[in-house]
Amino acid sequence: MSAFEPRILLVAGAGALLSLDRRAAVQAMFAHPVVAAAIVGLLLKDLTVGLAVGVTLGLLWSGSIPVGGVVPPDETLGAVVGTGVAVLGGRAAGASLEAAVALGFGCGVPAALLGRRVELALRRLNGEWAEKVEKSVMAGDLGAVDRAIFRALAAALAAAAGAHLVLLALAVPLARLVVHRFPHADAILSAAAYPLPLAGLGGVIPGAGFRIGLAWATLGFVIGLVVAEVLR
Amino acid sequence: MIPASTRARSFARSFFLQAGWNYDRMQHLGFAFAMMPALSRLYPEQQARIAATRRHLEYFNTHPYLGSALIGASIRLEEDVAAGSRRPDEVVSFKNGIMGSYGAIGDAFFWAALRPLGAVIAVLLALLGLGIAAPLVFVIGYDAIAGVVRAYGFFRGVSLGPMVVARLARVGFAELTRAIKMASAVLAGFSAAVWAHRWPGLAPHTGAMIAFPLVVLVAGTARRGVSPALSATVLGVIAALACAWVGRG
Repeated sequence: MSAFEPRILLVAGAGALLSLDRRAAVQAMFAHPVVAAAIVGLLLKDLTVGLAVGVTLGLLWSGSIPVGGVVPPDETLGAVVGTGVAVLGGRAAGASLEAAVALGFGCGVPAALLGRRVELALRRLNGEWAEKVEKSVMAGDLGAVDRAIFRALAAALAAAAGAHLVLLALAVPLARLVVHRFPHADAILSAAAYPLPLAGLGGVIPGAGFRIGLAWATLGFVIGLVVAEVLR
Repeated sequence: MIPASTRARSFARSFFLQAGWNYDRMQHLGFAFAMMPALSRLYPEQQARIAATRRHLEYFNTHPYLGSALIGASIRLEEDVAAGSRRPDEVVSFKNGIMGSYGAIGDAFFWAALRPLGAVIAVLLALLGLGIAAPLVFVIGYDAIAGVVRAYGFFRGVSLGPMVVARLARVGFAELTRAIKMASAVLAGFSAAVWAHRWPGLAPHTGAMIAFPLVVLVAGTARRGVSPALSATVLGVIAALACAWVGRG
């Protein structure tokens, strides 16, 4: 078993930058799991796995939206950790594509839930800094606003880098251990991967209203069967 | 009149509206950050600039994309205040009056409709084997729409002031939201069929017979508040256990 996988640093760095797009800056969808997983897959020279993890995790939290103070699970952290684990812990250890994706899912979902805690802490930290900004502005220090924003961005970047690094450093060796020590795990994990994207797709339907959404989804499914049959 | 370079700086800063988000006053730091270049230009006298900055450090929360229109319109209102044709409290009243409805409209349109639609399209393209085109189509298509709304809202806000709200109302976000959500449901069904056909080791018709009931099951549980992530985990564990049991047999 090798010690530290250096490519974890690359993934953690990319994940930290992508995480900024999630809330703190721009919000141009680079942090969306479908996109973030593909970018990490490209960086690790395994786009197929990146896309597969993105397909698996991409729609799971589409119904959880950041309304007001609601903080949804950190899908970006989940997608980046999931892809890192699938490539560096799964594929690199000889796992099949499906088994690697299942491993990525198994690590990505808890990572997303843990990431929510990090985001809550960051928002509380911003609140403490904001109180000081008001006092500084009253005292005539108008640069305090700019400094508070730069400090918040730096904190978000550092927290994301730390979270990605710790989770990847723990999960990648664990995934390798599973693949190496349990020869039958590949078939079992591959079977587990089958229903995962279907759950995300099912989660999209209630957005249109359950019955109407189901009717439209049924129509789409029938058309999809015909098209898939023709393409086959 | 604020020069174009100052407007451009404020517009660029509007992309950081949520950077300082906190539970006390939410986006107030980001709003003040976006206003700073314009306020520095409009109020050369220190005390007036401090008072104007404090106006924008009050509670603020809206959708980050539509927030650009409110920043633009607030710059126009501050121009009027600096010129003496408006009272300072009119700026605060305008922001407080519009931010709630813009938050609701933006959340429904961008977060709950357009973002899932873009993601479903990306998932479908990935399942069809189009590779890197899948996320690219999502990002380019989504950002084209979001970018136009942000830029139009901001720059028309600067030129029209509060009248920008009436201009943006013409877009018909509510009707578009409904149509987009239906399109997402159609594409979700379509994607499930493609997925069922592509799974190795299962005959396409067998896959289809399993796939759609699972999609409906998750949709039904999601409607009752069960996270699809939890449903996926349970379904994955059941599939793994079934495989292990068959393997033993």
